[in-house]
Amino acid sequence: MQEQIDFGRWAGPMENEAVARWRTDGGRVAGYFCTHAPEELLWAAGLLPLRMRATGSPDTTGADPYLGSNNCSFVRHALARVLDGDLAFLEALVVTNSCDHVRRIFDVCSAKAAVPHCYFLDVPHVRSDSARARLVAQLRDLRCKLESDFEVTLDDAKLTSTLKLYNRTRALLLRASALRGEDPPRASGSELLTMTVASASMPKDRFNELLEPHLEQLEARAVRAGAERRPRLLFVGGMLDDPGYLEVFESLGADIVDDQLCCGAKTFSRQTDEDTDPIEAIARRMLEHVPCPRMVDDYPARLSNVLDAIDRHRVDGVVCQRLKFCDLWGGEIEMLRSSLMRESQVRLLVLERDYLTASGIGQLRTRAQAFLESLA
Amino acid sequence: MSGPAMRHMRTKVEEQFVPMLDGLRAEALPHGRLLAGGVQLLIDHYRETFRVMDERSRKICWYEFSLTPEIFLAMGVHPFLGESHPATMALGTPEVCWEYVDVAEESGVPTELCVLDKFLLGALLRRELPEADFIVTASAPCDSSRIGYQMFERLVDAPVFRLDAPADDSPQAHAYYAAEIRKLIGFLEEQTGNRFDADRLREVCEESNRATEAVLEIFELRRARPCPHPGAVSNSLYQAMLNSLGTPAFTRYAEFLRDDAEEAVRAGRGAVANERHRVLWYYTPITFDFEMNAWLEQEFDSVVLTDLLASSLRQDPIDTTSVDTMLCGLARRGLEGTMGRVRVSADKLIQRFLLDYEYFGADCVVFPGPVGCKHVWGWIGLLREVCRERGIPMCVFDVDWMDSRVRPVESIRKSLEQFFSVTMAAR
Ligand code: SF4
Ligand code: SF4
Repeated sequence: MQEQIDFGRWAGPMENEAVARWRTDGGRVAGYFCTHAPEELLWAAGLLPLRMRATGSPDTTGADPYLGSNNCSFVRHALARVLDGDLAFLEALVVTNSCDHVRRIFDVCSAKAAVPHCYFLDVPHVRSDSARARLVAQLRDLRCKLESDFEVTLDDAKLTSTLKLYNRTRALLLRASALRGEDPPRASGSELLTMTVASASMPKDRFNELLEPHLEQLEARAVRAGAERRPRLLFVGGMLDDPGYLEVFESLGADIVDDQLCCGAKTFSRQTDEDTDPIEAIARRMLEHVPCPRMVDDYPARLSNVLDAIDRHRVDGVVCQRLKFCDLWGGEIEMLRSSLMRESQVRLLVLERDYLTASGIGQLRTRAQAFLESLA
Repeated sequence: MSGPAMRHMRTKVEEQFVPMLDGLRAEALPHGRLLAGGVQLLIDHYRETFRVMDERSRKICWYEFSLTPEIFLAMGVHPFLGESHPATMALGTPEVCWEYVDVAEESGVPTELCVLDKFLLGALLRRELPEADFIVTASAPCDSSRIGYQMFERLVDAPVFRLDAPADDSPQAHAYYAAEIRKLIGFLEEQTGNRFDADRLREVCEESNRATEAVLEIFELRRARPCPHPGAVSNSLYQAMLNSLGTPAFTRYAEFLRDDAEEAVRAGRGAVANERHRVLWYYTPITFDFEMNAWLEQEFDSVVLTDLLASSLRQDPIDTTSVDTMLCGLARRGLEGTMGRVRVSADKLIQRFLLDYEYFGADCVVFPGPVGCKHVWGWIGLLREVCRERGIPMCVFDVDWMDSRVRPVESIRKSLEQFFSVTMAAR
């Protein structure tokens, strides 16, 4: 029997063993915010794209002169890590206009020259044809900048092969996700989150090589014995990259059978079209793959995603979590709460948290326990 | 809730604004002569809103920051800027703000959202917003408004048109937004049954240009030492412009202020007799402290030259040569002349700040950072550094510019007192 792979090795602090190896081999690294970023362009330019996280961050002191206490704690920790020099290995940073907090990271990092090359993408807030054309123009511009800043050629052939690589990752993760949706599940929600976070923290080709045999093991895994049905939960919300948060619910006897988290299912929610102009295809996916509250014209689609997931996976309870001071997710969760009250019998738990979850785990356990009891 | 919509506001207009206008005209209130025109425009705007709403004689559009009224006027639509309503409703009665914010928060709206959006949601739940025929949003200036409008839409049974406002302020960004406004025209045609008429738009733009020319001159005159008008006048001008730019009545008000300022400068008359400090008030006014400007004038001989929002009124005229040039001008005006202005990068904001600081000959900055305004808190740090490097004295404090429970008047004034009596006194 082959040894199980622990993807947690790559889902911790950003500078993991795979990143160290990449750098030892002479590779260059780029950070990016957020699920809307055109990761494929970076990979095709020969950079290792890493989703910006701040796991293990000791404090926000370095960022405090530049951000207010009413800025989201993820952004404060992430900026502190950059300004403190902990991520000095980053040669580029791509920041999208995901939210007001994140976009100021670009402003501060470029003003302080904290990363050699900072790029900003003003991702539109609607999905019209003209909005997509505006995004395409920005992506073409980014392609030119990457070519000149890193002295590479970023042709369509390279891009198309990158799309294939990324689509492979998405297909594999989708397969893994199906296992957690089974009844009873063959994979846990925290395992899935660990995988998706790892997938954004290491080279995709290596990740795919590791995930493929791991999936086979999972698919062969015996399902849980016993007739007792555990509550099945759907997790929804913004930035959450700590599988330990999900483990709290699992340790109390719940199954997390699906998610709509930025670092979770949203990373593999849609393939990029391989048969069209690659930049057009990337733009289309950026605008359409992630139903996110920053987009002002797709609440109905977001709600129907949640309702579909509830239906498909026979969900008993929805857990909506958000970071304090996040306007977008604060409003979104409120809308979901009222929609679900009208359109579904399913119960809802709303949680507000700080980015680093460890300090709030005791309280979380109490809330989770009470919620699970209410589902019984 | 039965009865006509906006019951509270109807009463407020007649029982508070009309007597206030009489008081201003009679000079029973400070600077009455200068502020009366602004209050008159406000009263006219609300009376017209009630009339149109009751008679349904025209369509009413609830629109968002990052647009100005001209396009609606040209299309025969009654414009109602949502974001101007909270400050007007709470004028002189801060408890109204508390009530609507509480209503919104009790309904589940997160406390950390901007007070504007909480207030609007509370007012919507209490039927204190016009029953609009349609809503036009711009997806700017901030997260709070982006999610706020998505929440509002769910409570209003009306079609919504969404423009995409770029975060940039380049000519290309303006051209893109102009194309968005062109699409908006199609929507307005559909909703109203009225055909777009380029000549009518030109007329409105020309009217609007007459006003903005006068506004430019007013700001030019505000550079004089002493500054001819108090800070309250630029607030009043801004507030009136939001719903009335493009109407002859607004132009008359702007021209009256310009003529008065001209005369004051000629006579060497200032808003403050012995002007000592020239303050750039960089962000929103404090709506619940009506007397703030007068207090700064009396206590510290300080005049507020402009706030960030009012300073954005300094705009070049719209080129009326063709529909394209007009739309481009409207795009620029909407994006840069309202709170939409703060949607750009910190770097751009700082450049504009420095231009404003220099243009007005300011000698200090007061920066009230609204607690709900997250992007501003990601900008202040960089701005502070720039001010430190250039020796610009700066007073920064957090505040909710409409909800006085967050930081009451006394606390705000204490911060200012400290700043003027210690930092500024030492200069
Ligand atoms: S959690 Fe919210 S505020 Fe924080 S980065 Fe994500 S969208 Fe922005
Ligand atoms: S004050 Fe700030 S948060 Fe509020 S509407 Fe204006 S830009 Fe948005």
